[in-house]
Amino acid sequence: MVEARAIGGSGGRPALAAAIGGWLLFITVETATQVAFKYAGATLDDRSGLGHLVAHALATPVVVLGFALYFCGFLLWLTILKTVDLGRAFPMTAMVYVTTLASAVILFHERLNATRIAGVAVIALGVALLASDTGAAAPAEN
Amino acid sequence: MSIVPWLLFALTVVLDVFGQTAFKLGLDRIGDDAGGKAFWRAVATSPWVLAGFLGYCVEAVSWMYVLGHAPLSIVGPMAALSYVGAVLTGRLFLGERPRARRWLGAGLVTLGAGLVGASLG
Repeated sequence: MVEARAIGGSGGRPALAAAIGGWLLFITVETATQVAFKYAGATLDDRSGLGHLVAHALATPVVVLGFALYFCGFLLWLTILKTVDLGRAFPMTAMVYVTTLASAVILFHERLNATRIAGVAVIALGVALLASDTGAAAPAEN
Repeated sequence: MSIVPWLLFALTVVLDVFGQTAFKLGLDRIGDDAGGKAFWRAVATSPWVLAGFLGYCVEAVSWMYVLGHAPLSIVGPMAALSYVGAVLTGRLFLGERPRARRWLGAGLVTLGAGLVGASLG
């Protein structure tokens, strides 16, 4: 029963396609959110405090865009969580970290060293292990 | 990188895990029967969902500050520490029973996040 619910009900293949489509959309929106937030944060003075940050945020279009994307991601995430266990749904968002890392290099020209790449690889391996533990979880006893 | 961005990074991760856990607690209480408008009405009036949403709002501001003061390639991957928190809250508050593989994954994510943090040099 839990397995059937995990792919979005008893609808079979169309439900699975919808789940994958929703996941791809979620990854895209989340990556765009991080990029918008980084653009917003990157314009800040290094010595600016939290108060300045909030004032700056309300007056900057890219910040408003970031929050709009953030809210869209929130709604998408709720629809995904409606049918998938948290301990399983959350690790499936791992792809965000790959696309975000690519954005950091391509858009913000950050340089990666060996330690950082190794660390991200270990994180990715850990997330893959987390995500593959689908047998999980007896449902809550209530 | 000074201490303040790291403290706000920690706050961001904690609020993220809180939000995820609160959403799941709220949605579990709504159940599978509610569809369409009834579902979204139940979502909008759920105390757990609203608490998680408020946490998300604070998290967004905190995260923007962190991104303004740290490389995206450092704090982006390190945000995977939220996974570790979700495994813990799933076990503690949601009645989930993670197997050894999931705990091992959580350990590797923690190790990897440590490496990424250390790579800042």
